[in-house]
Parts: sequence; C-alpha cells; structure tokens
Amino acid sequence: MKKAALGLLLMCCLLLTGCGGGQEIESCLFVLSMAVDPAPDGNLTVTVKALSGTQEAVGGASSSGQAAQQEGDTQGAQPDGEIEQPEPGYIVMSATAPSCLRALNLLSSTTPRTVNLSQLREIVISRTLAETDATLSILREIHGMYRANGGAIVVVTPDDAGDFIRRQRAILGVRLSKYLEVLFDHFSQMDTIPPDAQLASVIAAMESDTMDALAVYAAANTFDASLVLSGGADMDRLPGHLPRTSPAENEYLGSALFSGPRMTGTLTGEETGLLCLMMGRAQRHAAFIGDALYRTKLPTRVRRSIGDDGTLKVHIDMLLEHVAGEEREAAAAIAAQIEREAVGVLLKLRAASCDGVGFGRIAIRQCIDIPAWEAVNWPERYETAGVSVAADVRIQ
Amino acid sequence: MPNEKQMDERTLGSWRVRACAAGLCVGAQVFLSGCAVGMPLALTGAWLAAIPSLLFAAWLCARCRRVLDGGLQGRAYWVLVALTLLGCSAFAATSLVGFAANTLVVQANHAWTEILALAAAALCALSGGIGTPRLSFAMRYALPVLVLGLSLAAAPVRVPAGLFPILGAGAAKVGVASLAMLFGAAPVLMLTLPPPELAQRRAQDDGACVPQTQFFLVRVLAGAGLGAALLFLTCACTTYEVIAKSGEWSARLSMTAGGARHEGVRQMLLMTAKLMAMLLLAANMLCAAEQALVLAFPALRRRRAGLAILVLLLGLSLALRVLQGDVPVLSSAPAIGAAALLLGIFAGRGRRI
Amino acid sequence: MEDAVVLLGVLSRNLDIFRSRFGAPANADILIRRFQSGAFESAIIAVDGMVNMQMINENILKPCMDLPEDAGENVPGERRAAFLMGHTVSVLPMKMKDNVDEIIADVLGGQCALLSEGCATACVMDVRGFEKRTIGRPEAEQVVLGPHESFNESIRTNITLLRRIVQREELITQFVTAGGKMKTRCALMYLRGTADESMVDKIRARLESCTYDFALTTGEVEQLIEEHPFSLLPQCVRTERPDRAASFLAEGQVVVLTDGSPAALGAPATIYHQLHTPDDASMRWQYGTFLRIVRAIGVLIHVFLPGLYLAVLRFHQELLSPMLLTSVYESSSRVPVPTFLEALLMTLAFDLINEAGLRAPGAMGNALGIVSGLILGQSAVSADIVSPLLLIVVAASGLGGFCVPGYALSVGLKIVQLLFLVAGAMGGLYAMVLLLGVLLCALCATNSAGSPLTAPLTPPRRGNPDILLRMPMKYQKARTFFAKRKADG
Repeated sequence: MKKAALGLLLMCCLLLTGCGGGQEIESCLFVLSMAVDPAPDGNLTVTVKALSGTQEAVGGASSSGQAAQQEGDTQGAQPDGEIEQPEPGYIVMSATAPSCLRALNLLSSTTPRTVNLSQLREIVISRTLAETDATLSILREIHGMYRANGGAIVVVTPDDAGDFIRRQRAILGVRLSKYLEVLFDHFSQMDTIPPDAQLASVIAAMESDTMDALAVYAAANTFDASLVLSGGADMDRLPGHLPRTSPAENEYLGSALFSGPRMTGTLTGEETGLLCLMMGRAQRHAAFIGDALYRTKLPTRVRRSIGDDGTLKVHIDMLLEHVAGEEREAAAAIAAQIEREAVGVLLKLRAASCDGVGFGRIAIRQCIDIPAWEAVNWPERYETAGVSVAADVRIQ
Repeated sequence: MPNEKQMDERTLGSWRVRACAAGLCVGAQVFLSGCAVGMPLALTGAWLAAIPSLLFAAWLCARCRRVLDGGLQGRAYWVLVALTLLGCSAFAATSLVGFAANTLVVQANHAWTEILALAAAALCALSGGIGTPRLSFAMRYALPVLVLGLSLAAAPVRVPAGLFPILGAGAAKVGVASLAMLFGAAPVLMLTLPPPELAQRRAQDDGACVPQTQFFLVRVLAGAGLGAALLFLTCACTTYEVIAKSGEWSARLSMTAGGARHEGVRQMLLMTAKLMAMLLLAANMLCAAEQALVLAFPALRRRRAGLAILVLLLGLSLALRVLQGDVPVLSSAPAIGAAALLLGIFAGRGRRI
Repeated sequence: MEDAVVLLGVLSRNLDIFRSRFGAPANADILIRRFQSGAFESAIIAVDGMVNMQMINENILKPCMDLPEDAGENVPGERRAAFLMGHTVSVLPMKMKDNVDEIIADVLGGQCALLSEGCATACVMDVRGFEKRTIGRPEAEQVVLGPHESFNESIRTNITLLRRIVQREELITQFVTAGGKMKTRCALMYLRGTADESMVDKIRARLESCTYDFALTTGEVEQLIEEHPFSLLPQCVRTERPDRAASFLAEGQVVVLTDGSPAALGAPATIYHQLHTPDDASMRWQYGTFLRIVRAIGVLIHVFLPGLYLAVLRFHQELLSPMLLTSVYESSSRVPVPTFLEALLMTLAFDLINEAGLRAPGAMGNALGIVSGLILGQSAVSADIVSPLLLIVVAASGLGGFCVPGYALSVGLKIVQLLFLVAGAMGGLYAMVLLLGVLLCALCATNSAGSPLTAPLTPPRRGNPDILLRMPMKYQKARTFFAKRKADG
C-alpha cells in the first residue's frame, strides 16, 4: 500500500508538472522604469523602459509617444505601441488606455513578451496627474500586478513623464538599473530626497490617516532658464534649477507632498533634509552652515510631541564638530537658524495638509482603539495646529 | 512521580521530540489563526487576542498529561481527537496553498498547488509519525530564529506604525477574535498520544514513562509564545488600514513590515521558512490524527488504511475550499470546543468515553 | 532439512566422500595425500594454491612421516587425530571437526584437513598461503595527515590491521558465513562491554539469513544489513582505513569485514559519520571544524545550487540583482534550448565525464577530464548552446559533490540533486521546500541497525560534541548513544 500510494502521488505530481506557471526568462519583458502621463479624454499614457536582451540598438527612429497620441481620436484603448530608440540594451514603449492596467495589458498584447515588473526601479508620474485623486488608484494598480516590485521609487515630475524616462541614461557605470539603484541610495544618504518613497510605503501612507505620503521630486535641468529660485543654501532649490551641467539631464531633488492621494506641494532639497531630520531619518552626517563644514559627532536626537494645546513640537539635539571652512556663527545662532528653517518646513507641510513628519502616529497613541482615533478627525486638527521647533546645538 | 533525570534516555528523547513538535505546531497554528480570524476582526489588536489561546494551550497541556496518566480513552474520544487534528491539518494545508499561491507560485494552476501540498503532507506522514516530529525537533531553534529574526530585520527601527492604538478595533472585537482564535491551541491534543516508537508501552502500565506536566508546558508555551510574537510583529509593523484592506487570508499571511513585497533574498528566506512551518504543522497533525484514528479503530492500522482515509478527507477539504480557507476553521472550532470540554470533564476523573 | 553428513571411522571411505564432493581427480586443484604416520595411516586434503606448501611439508607431513613405526600403536582410533595434534603437528590455529560440509568449506577457504584411520574427527588447520595484495594506500579516502594504510582483500590481514590499533582484550571477532551454496566469510568485530550485544546479534542474524548464491562483497553485505532498502542515502558507513574502523569500534559500533573486499562496514551509523573524514580528528579542532564547515557548504551547493538556479530563473527573477539579470537575460536569449533542458544536459554531461574518467584506464582518465571540460564547456558556450552562468553553476555544484567523503553518499546526493533540479524547474522554491520537507522527514525516520540515522541531533541522544563543530578533545569524553551505558551512568 505504501508503494502504491507513493507511486500514485508521484504520478499526480509528474502529470501536472506543466501547471507550475514557470516561464523562461527570455519570455519576460523586464521593465526598469515606468512613466504615467495624462492623455486626452481621461486616458493615461504609460511609457515603459525595459531590457531588450541585446546590446545592439533596437528599432528605428520614430516620433515620440505624445505626437502619436495626438493623431488619434479614440475612445478607450489606443493601439499606440510606438517603439523608441533609447541607448543600446533598452527599449522604450508606450501605450494609452483609460487605466494603467489596461495600458500595461495593451503593451503585453502587442509585445511578444510578458510584462514583468519585478525589476522596476522607478515610477514617474507627471505632476498634472499627481495633483488629482487618480494617483492612488494608479499606484495600487501597479502594486497589485503580479511580481511588481514594492521597492520601486515613486517620482513626480513637472515635465512629461514619458520624456523623463526616455532621457534617462546610465551616465556612470554600464547598467541603467544599477545606476538608478545607486542614485536613489546616494541621494537618500544625502537627505536630498525623502525616505519611504517606495511604492508600497507611499500607498500605505496614502491610505493611512496617521501619516501622509512623500515622493521624490525630479525634473530636467534647465540651467539656462531665466527663473532661478533664490535660496539660502545651494540645495535650497527645486530640481531642474541647479546651477550645474551634467550629461544626465534628469535631476532628483526635493519632495513632492501628498495629502491623501493628491499632491499638494513641494519641498526643496534643503527643506527635504530638514524634514528628514525632524522625522528622525537623517542620514547625512555632514552639513554646510554658512561657509563652514560641520560633522555630527553623535546621532542627532529628535523628539516629536504634541502639546496639551495641540501644538506640534519638535526638539532637536545636535552635537557638531567643525571640520573645515571658516566658522562664522556661534552654536546659538546656528540653533536659531535651524529652528527658523524647520518651522518654515512645518508650516509649508501644514499648508499643504501633508503630515509628512508623522505627528499623526504620535497623536494616535493617546487613543485606546481605532474608533476613538477615527473620532479625533486628525486631518482637520492638523491643519489648525500650531508648530514649534526647539534646537540644542553644541559645537566641538 | 519520577522526574526526567530518572527516565531512560531513549524514552525521554522521544517525549522531548513530541513536546517540541507540539510546541512548534501550536506556534504555527496561533499565527495562522491570528491571520485567518484575528486580524480581520481585531485589526492591529490581533496579537492581544492571541493571549487567551496561550492560556488555553497551557490548560489543555495539563489535561493531556492526565489523559496519558489515566490510560487509553474510549473510541468516541479518539475519533473526536482525530477529527480535531484533521481539522488542524486541513487548516495548515489550506494556509500553505493560499500562501504559496499569493507569493511564490502566483501564476501556477491552483489545483496543482493543492495537489503538491497534499502530496507533500501525505508523504511526510508516511514516515509513521516518527520522521515528522523528529524533523520538527531538529528545527525547533532554526525555524523560529529564521522567521522571527527575518521579520525583526524587516521591522522599522522606530516605533512601529501598527502598535497604536493598543486595542486595535476595540475591546469587543478583540474579545470575539480571542474566542475564535482558541482554535490555535488545538495541536496540543497530539500530546494525548504517546510517541509511536513508545507505542508498546501504555502510560497506565508504567507511570515512569511519562514526564511531568512542566516538561510539556514549557515547550508548548515557548512555541505558542513565538507564534504570538510573530503575530505581534506583523500587527505592530502594519497600519490598520492596510490590514483592513488586505482582503484575502493569504495576503495577511505574507505581510511583513511595511507591506513591502519582493525585497529579495531576505524576504524569500522568510517565505520559505513560513512555508516549512506550515508543512510541518500539516504533516504532524496528519500523523497524530492517524494515530488517534487507529486507536479508535485498530483494524485501520493494516496497510495504513487510516492514513489513506485521512488523506482523502484532507484532499476533499482542500477541494471544497469555498470560503477562502475558513471552512476547516469553522468546522473544527466546534470540535475543539467539544474536545476541550470532554478533556476537562472526564480526563481529570479518569472516566472513559 | 537434510541430516548433516559426518565423518566415518574408515579413512578410505572418508576420502571417497571428499573425492566425490570435490570432483577429484578431475578437479586438479584438490590435493589428497595419504601417508603413514607412525602406526596408522593418515591423509591430508588441501586446495593447491590456497595453502602454504612449505608449512604443510615442514610442520605436518614431515613430522608425521618421521614418527617411529610403533608410534600411536595403543592410541584408540577416535583419538588418533588428537594424538597427532598433541605430539607431532606444529601448527597453531587448529580445530577438530566432524561435519563434512564444514570441513569442505574450510578447505575451500585455504585450510587443510588431516584425517586418520579409525578416527571420525578431522583436524582442520589454518595454513593459508594464497597470494594477496600488500597493504597499500587508501584509494578513495586519502588524507593529508594521519595514517596511510588501507585494508586489502584478505580478511585475516584486515583483522590484524585492526588488532594492531585496538589492542584490547575486549575486542571480539566473530566469524559468520553468509550466503547459500557459495558462502562468504565475514567477521563481526566489536568491543565487548561497549557495543550493544543485541545489535551484534541483529546484524549476525541478518547475515546468516542470507541465501544468495554468489560471492558477497562489502556492498552486498551492507545491503543485507540495512533496514531501509528504498532510502536514497546509505545507512552504514564504509571505510577502507583501519584507523577509521578502529574509531567505529571505540564508539560502540560493530565493524563488519568481508573476505575478498578491501573495506569495512560500520553499523549502526549516523549521517554525520558519512560526512566526517579522519583528517578532522587528526588536526586541531579549529582546523577540523573549519574543514567540516567548508565540506558542509560544498554539500549544500552540490545538492541545491542547480535547482535554485532553475527556480530563480523560471519563477523568482526578482531575486536576481539587476546587473546579473541583464547578463542572464542577454545570454539566455541566444541559447536555443529551454533552461531546464540545458541544465539537465549539462548536469548529465558532467556525470558522464566523471564516470568516464573513473572507468578510463590510467593516464587516459586524467586527460579525459581536462579535454572534456575544455571541449564540451568552451565549445558549448561559444556555440551558444549553453549559457556561461549555467556552466559555472554546474561546475560549482560538481566541485561541491567532490567534497563528499564517501562515494556511496555522493551518488545518493547526486540523485537528490536531480530531484531538486526537477522540483526547482517545475515548481520553483515552493516545490523545492516541499521536497526538502519530505526528504528530511524520510531521513529522520530512517534507522541504521535500529538506531536513528539523524541522532544525536534528532531524536536527542547523548554524544560527543562532534557533529558539525569538532570541539576540543577534552570535551569528547562521552560514549556515543550506540554504546552501552557505563555502570556509573
């Protein structure tokens, strides 16, 4: 009986070996970057940059996806699979449909490969779209896809998102995927982009009442533009306005602020650094204050609290070490400057109805259960709360 | 009563294996029942709802020891135990299938996933209730360390997002969830059965064969505590909104901190460790159910007919999984209740049923 | 059951029985020599080439034939053989037997039988002198440090090698004949008071119940002893090293030697015995532990790497780093065969090269490996038949397989590797984890001569801290769980 049972079980397993759902690797289309733009008639244009599987240049020159869209006057899905000419090893395709899922399905249907988002590194959404309520549903659709990488970074751009990823080049190294990975890691360590900008975290924050989402803000560099934001610090600018030149036109700097599913504001690079500091997520250990370079000797201690009168309070305790440059300001002056700038950031967040720091997570501790918390109506309370920042800075 | 130091090494070793296997199974069952019924009801308060099941497991453990001391019970009792343990096995197999279908083999044919799980559980049970508990014993440290360690590594270093509010969906819902999660203690019933390699001995013939209650209690509570700890980590690191919107049971099983998916090798290791724990639970329960069934109907020992019947029933349960895996939970809950009641009333008085 | 045939009191009739049984004089190997030994006649029976002729001539024939004519005149017939043993023959190993079958078996084994007129008992003397291989170096268990002697085909030599190392009065050697018409002599060696006698009896009973009619080798004896013939992994540990066999004895195991086979079996054994080498014990504990860890990693790579490779490529591409994925994607695009077939073919090719290298004689075997690797590997990659990464995976897996100390275990693990390969290709990590669970359950349920194969890890048993980590010698005091407990606990 034992042998018969074994035999029967093995037969069942072997007969069904084709049902495992395995795929040859070359039957997949590995998407590295995805861009979503609004299209006429309430449609969406989804542009993807994927591995082509060959080092040779793929496809011939053709018009951009947007031009092709303007030629059509369709209702519903448009068979708009234009193939662009990116750098060798990659292929750019776009499709227009009423939803992100349908656009990806259209891409799958018109390309002889299965769309695989497991290697997705960034999702670029145009600012026009981000300022609508559609962002959450778009991100949910992408996240809900089989094998979608929840660690992909969400980026908002004021430019055309499709063009943004078309311009993307691996200017350092060989592989675009590695280039993007190192890029986000590096900027995260510099505190010039917000933490928790991954797809899964952004969705969780958008759906949460205790915290709001932050995404990376990026744009093409227009150094020749006449409008240049003035700021106290070099990084106190939005992307696209940095006074520098580089083969990489795309600049990632600052944060896109969300209130619920909708984008409501931006922060510059410097402001993002202060935001990271107030969140307790600062990774940068060196900072320019005036003309001097300081390094944090010990991890900065940050305490966030809510006063009895509802004031949002942040207390920062820093120990700095002067490293280079001419020291011109005393510790007290530096502390006052930090307090001013931090208050400015908090006010900006409040004006945008974005609880990016996470005061909601502190307020929820005072409630015993979820119904009690929901009765508090935190978004309304946040918009009317006062802000206060206290900084203790010691310099060695 | 003689203590463990006076027992024969092989006998004590067999009991240690049995007790550790029961502890591991209880831990896995507590976590699975937390994901199945605790989290939908109590949201982030599901870990609180797991505490009564720990106490219930401890109480059952003490009662099981009395059954071993009091000798064999009647046919009805063993049938009840067999059905309850079969329910636990079905519960574990269902969770295994759902978990795999949601994470590792999403595009696979569902029937294929179920057949593989059924085949694996049946093949593990073919070892006659000897190999599976021994494997559980061998993994008594490795599995918890892997699962808890990897979950901790994925947890945020700051205050977890789901820790507050403490009571989750509210005291009433936590109470209801804790009642529903009592099913998590059901694997303790395998301790009413002596290890198969000691089948020649009966507890009533030689009282020195069975260790003290504390011997079992420590191991069962350690396992149950680990299951509750994993549930706590999952609840504490996930916001209540994400849990409320999670939908399927299998989605909650694969939750880790922050809900990030496909973080790479670490996430994959965690998933395989969870899968192994579920397989061990399913196989151990199947072995114990067979043992109980054979005690009720000794004729079923021939040609492993008891195992064949149980595997068929398990397959049927998987095939009839119409309520997203809740069918085995719902069908076994009354059984565990009845078994606990009977254990409590009769075991202490030495009456046979 | 037939009644046993015993000797008669008449020499000529006894000799007729032996001639009839041996087929002499047609069977030219059989030597039957009658001679006068004092007052009575005697005869000697031996097999040409199996005996030491010089010893027979000088220690048996000459002394017997030199007896005075009246020597033994008054000795009763039934005591004549004993008279010759006590006064004339100077050979040490000697037994008195009257069973014809036993005498024939001994003569065929290289002993000689001395019969006398009027005596229904024969003296069987060990005068073996057949050609045998000298003690050489172990072929399959080479070590860097430690002794370099190995067993050979003579059971007596092998026993001697063990006795040189284990010089204890408790060392018992029991001879057992296994087989039907063609019997094979086996020796069970164990330490009285250390080994469990019930285990010895069990092993002996299994050997004696064997009825195969061919010469048994150590491998066949192992298959007689084992309890789970369908298990993928061996349940006894085999060695060709006397020092290793001596360590088995000290742990309370039974060592089985087979006449004609240059290896010893140790039973019961654990799976860990099969993964240990003598070098681990010869070196300091840090080095021994390090080597064991390396070996364990090698075994894991050997068993799991090809399956993991297929699982990741077909089911879990998200595990690959982006750079690696790009390389694999580009190379896979050029390969015409599916990944599973590619992996299967390369694994098979590796096994073929391995097997061919073993069977090819001498220098050809060495050259075969190099040429095959170069031609097959390099050409296959250049022709885009296989991807370079797969070649690395198969090579690494093969190297891991060479780390396995025992040949039998390495073949068993090779089968397990193929199972995981199929599981990884068909069901990804899901199928691999389920298969791992099933195989581990089966392994934990496997016994070796009544002892669990996975003990002392599971089920828990007392043992030395010597499983993966080899702790310092001062911690290794306890007898293993095979052995009888000492009286003091």
